[in-house]
Amino acid sequence: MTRAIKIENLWWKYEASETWTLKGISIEIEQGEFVGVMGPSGAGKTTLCLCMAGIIPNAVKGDMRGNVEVLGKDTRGTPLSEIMKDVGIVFQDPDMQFVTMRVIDEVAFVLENQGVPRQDMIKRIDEALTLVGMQDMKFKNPLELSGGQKQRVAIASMIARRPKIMIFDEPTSDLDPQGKRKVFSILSKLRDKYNLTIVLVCHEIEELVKYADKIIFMRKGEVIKEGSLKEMFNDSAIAENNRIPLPQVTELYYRLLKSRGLKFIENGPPLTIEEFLTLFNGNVEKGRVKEISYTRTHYGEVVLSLRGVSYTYPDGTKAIKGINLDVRKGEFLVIVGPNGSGKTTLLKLMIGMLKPTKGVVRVFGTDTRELSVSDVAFKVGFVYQNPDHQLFCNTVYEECAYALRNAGLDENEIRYVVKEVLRQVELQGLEEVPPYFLSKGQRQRLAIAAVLAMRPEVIVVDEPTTGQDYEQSQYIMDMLKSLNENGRTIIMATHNMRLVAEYADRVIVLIDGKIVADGPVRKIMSSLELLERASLNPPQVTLLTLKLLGIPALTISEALSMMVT
Amino acid sequence: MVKTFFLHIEDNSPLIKLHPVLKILLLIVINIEAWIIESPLILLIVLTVMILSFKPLKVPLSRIARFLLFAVMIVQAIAFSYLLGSTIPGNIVLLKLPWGTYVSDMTLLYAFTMILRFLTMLVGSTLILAVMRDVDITYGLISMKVPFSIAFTISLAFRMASIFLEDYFKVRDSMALRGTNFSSGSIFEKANKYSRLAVPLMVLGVRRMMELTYILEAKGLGLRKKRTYLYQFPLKASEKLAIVVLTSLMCLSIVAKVSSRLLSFPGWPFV
Repeated sequence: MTRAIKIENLWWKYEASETWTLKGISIEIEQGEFVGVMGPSGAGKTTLCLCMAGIIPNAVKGDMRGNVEVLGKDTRGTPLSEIMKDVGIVFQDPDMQFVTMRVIDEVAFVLENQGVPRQDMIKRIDEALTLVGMQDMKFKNPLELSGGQKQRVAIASMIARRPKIMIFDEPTSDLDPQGKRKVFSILSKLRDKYNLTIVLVCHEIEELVKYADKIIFMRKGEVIKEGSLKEMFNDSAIAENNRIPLPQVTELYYRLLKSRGLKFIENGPPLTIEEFLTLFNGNVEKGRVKEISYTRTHYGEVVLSLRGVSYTYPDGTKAIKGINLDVRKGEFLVIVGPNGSGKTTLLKLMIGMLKPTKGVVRVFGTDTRELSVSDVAFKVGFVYQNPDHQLFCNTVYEECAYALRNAGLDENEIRYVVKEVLRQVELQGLEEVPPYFLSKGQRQRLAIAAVLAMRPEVIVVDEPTTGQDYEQSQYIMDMLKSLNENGRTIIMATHNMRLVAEYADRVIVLIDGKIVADGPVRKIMSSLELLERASLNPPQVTLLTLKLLGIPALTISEALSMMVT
Repeated sequence: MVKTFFLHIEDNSPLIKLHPVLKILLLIVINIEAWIIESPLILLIVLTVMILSFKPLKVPLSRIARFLLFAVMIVQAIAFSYLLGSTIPGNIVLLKLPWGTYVSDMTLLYAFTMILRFLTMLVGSTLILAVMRDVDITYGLISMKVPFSIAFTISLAFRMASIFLEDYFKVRDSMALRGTNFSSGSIFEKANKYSRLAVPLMVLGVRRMMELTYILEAKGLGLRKKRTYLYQFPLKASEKLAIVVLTSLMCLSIVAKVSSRLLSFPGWPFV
């Protein structure tokens, strides 16, 4: 095999920074390998991608030590345009990388720059857009698509270009579960067909284990562990000590061994449902499962009501079609659905940012058409999917104090409230730091704090865990759950079915702007056909217990309590 | 609907289907004509025709309303500058000012003409820009033998302007979601509220520009000296004719302006 990327003792420090973002990284990647890069926020994954693509040190200023060789060329002495002939990179935030006004033009742009003949270009654009399921959207403006659709366009641009090395920095964070699966599968097929090298940063360990040859786990600028999948997960202690997230079935396997005092099985832990079933089928009996609760009934009065609500965008897209919905005080409601199903639009209608083109949305009994956005804001708070769309003040303190000043509170009271909300989201001590200097996880928490400061009764959150590692996601979800237990109503849109299973009470499934299912989380999670239709997958542990025991467990602990070996 | 730089347009609008070169040429001709013509009557006719053409061309007239505040401010500035600071001779002097200038009947007519010129430029540019996309600018300029790098930069500048507008709405919505009511208060209070948008918009703008540099490199801009193109826009005979007519009209106007007083303001040059 030829070497695609060789990194030797790489250290990198950004121009404005005092600390090293990468600390002594040494990696070798062979041509044709599919490599997964994982790690918590702030681990240096994006910086590593920029180094592999030659953007660092060619277009970003800072202090670099060590060497990076891409297909035998030292990135330090090679012009970026030369490196880019063989390397392609998809960035984390697709919003920032669109340079044209139509999906088709965006994919064509890279091919035009490459000098691809027109007929070949048309064929490759068509093929790439079909692969990512965006053929019908080719004349849309990329900036007007949903988060997941934008990511599909960015991936299509890369697929059409077919460079020898493809680097993806969290390209699937906004995709629905089946969309993610499809992208992984497409990349794997392309790798096999064209012997491409794929470096993919992501948090989806359960998908990664199916396709990656090797995984690199990073933390605080260092490579903590690197190796094949079996090597990575063979020792639960290493994973636990380094807080490496495990696939649900692997975690269940280790907990099952530990709780039953069983010995480790030689072939290594199961990484997929199929492997678990092969290992345990026949050895597991249904345990004494306590009565499964399907419903929780003690909710308060209706706080949000939608009657016959439809919404059509100026470009004619019918995003919401005749929705009827009541949300009661104290509910933890999660809206799920495929990319572009209208989730964000529905949330924006709930907070009065969009007014329905048909029907009525009532917030605490008042029609949102009679209220300004600022009137609704103190009753129903909204946290954006991308915190950067929400943070606009110079410091963390100012960000939280902004709404309170609008409400006319005196400075002493503002100081007290800000201190309290920053404590709740664990950002105390960062009051004077500009929001743009925080990590993405911290910015998301600050966005929630800024809304919490307004003390709204209902908190509407759009995909709060997008692009966050599992620890951060759990942290945010625990915070929302605690707010919910203290009486706040939570309405959230997400694709993360593991978190839906662990935290939600009620789930709404939205497809093509219509509610196709509305019910308790366990009931929805057991409706495999419905989830399939909505491009969703139940969590690994739910699917496993359904297959193994015929009962849907929502969490690993629940699955453990259901099993008798 | 088709998304252009600044709005959504019905895809059957006759203007949207125009050849990119014609769109660019129309934009240039309208602005040059408005700069050449000083006859208030001709300007009034041109302006009226343009306003009346919005509906049949399926461009929402409400586009102009978005620039209304800006237009009113410029109109006021033009009016005040002529009323308070000019010495245009006329048949009747209406007002003599202590600092030596005066307002005559011709001052009023000239100020009115200048306002018409400005409105013609504004309305005409709005009409054409309402149907322009990045592809129109890039391909239009390339067809006019402008190098790709310059054509793409100009197109990107327009696109950045429309992205800036979208960012403006995003930040404004975020502020509204935290209790800022932009529609309440006196004009000074409103100005104060809007001024708070400046810092986040500047930060966003700087970030976008910094990232754009390496995103364009990552997308292979400048990778090959010879670039290929997805679209082909062959000129039809009618479009060629329209280009000849528009170019001739522009040349004739310049000649008329230089050689006769046909398009000039009555009484010009003032002595």
